[in-house]
Amino acid sequence: MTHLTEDQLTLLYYGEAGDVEASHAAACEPCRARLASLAQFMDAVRSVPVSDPRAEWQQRLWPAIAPQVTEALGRRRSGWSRLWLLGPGLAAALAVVFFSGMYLQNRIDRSHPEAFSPKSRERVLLITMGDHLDRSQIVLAELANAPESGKTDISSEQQLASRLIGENRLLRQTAQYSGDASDAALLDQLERVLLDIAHSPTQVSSGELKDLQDRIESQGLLFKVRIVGAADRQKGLKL
Amino acid sequence: MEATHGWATTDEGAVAEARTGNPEAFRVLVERHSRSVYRLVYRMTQNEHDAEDLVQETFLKACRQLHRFDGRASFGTWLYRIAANCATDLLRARQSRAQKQVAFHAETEENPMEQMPSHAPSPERLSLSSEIGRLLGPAMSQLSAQERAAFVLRHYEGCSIEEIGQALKVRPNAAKHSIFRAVQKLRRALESKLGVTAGSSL
Repeated sequence: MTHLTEDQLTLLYYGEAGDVEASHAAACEPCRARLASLAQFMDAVRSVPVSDPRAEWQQRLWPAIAPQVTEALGRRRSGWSRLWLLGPGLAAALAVVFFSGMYLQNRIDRSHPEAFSPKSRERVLLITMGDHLDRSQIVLAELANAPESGKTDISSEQQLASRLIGENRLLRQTAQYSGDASDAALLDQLERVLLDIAHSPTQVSSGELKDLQDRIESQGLLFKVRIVGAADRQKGLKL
Repeated sequence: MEATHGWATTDEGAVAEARTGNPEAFRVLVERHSRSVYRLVYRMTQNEHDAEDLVQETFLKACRQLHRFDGRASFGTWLYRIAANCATDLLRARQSRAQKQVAFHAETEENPMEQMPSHAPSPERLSLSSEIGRLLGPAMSQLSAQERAAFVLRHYEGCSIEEIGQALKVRPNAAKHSIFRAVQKLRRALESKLGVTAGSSL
């Protein structure tokens, strides 16, 4: 009869061996003795105590990390809450800009010419574009900075990406219609990445996450989104 | 403080409150779990100062990743995963540096582990009740980072092989073999010092 290996005895000790190994150990005196010896050793190792951390260190722990914790929790809350608040307003603003630009050019109420003046439309468009890129940047940055782990849940980023795709499409078409090639190209690149995010599995493997991160980093997309977004919003507010 | 807030009575409540941006809720989690996280990383590093730094790093990472906590495992288990990874990263970096030093000073034929910072806990901090306790620190330093993490999570924290695999981002079979190697190395190291051979009675 072949005796149990040390690895099999280890599994028996942890209660993870199969019935065959357990039956063998029950019937085989040498293996039972080796298991008892292993158990004695393992129990002795487990019984080695670890002192509690120093009291003064425990008192210092929270004050040491509190500023960073507060900042991290606050930043995340303000970022997401602003997203939820801006969503419906942005959609409405986009619709106004898009339809006013494409279809209503010659049907403006003559009694209120300023309502859809080119300057007003440009202002709305710039602010809308800035806010859209700001929100896109948050989604991209969340994924770009996500730590690698076996499986990463990206469902919240996916929901936001899905909502941003429609707005992005409207903005891209508006930019193309108005002849703004650079904005159109940026929005085209962004749209492809947002589609990738939205169509990824909810739980991505480390390889899939790396692919998404590579797409985000490719051609400096995250950087461009951040810079153009901030510039557009500032420009729009000054108009 | 915990008695005054309903959310503070459970980890789930404190996590939900922390997600709204309340740092006091995260403070509750820190105070509740810092000792157990300390014990975990101390067992892995066998060094008090490393353990203190790693607890801090663990909670900061947990705070930044709080939105990723999905509640499938308990908050404590999730925290252990982060702590084990932080400790593993530290040990790997340290072992890598030690190996480079050995390569540079190859002619000295020194033991690489001797070039690492002392892992021996200070005598005034730790009073070990047995010979095994005295020898455990040096013996643990002979394990790889992954072997240490897998063994500590299995032996002291009672994590399953699956959980260890997830925590260390390796397949369950690799986690299991890390535990096997750890047990073998510890028995060889400790039993030889204690004057007995593996397989015979202590």
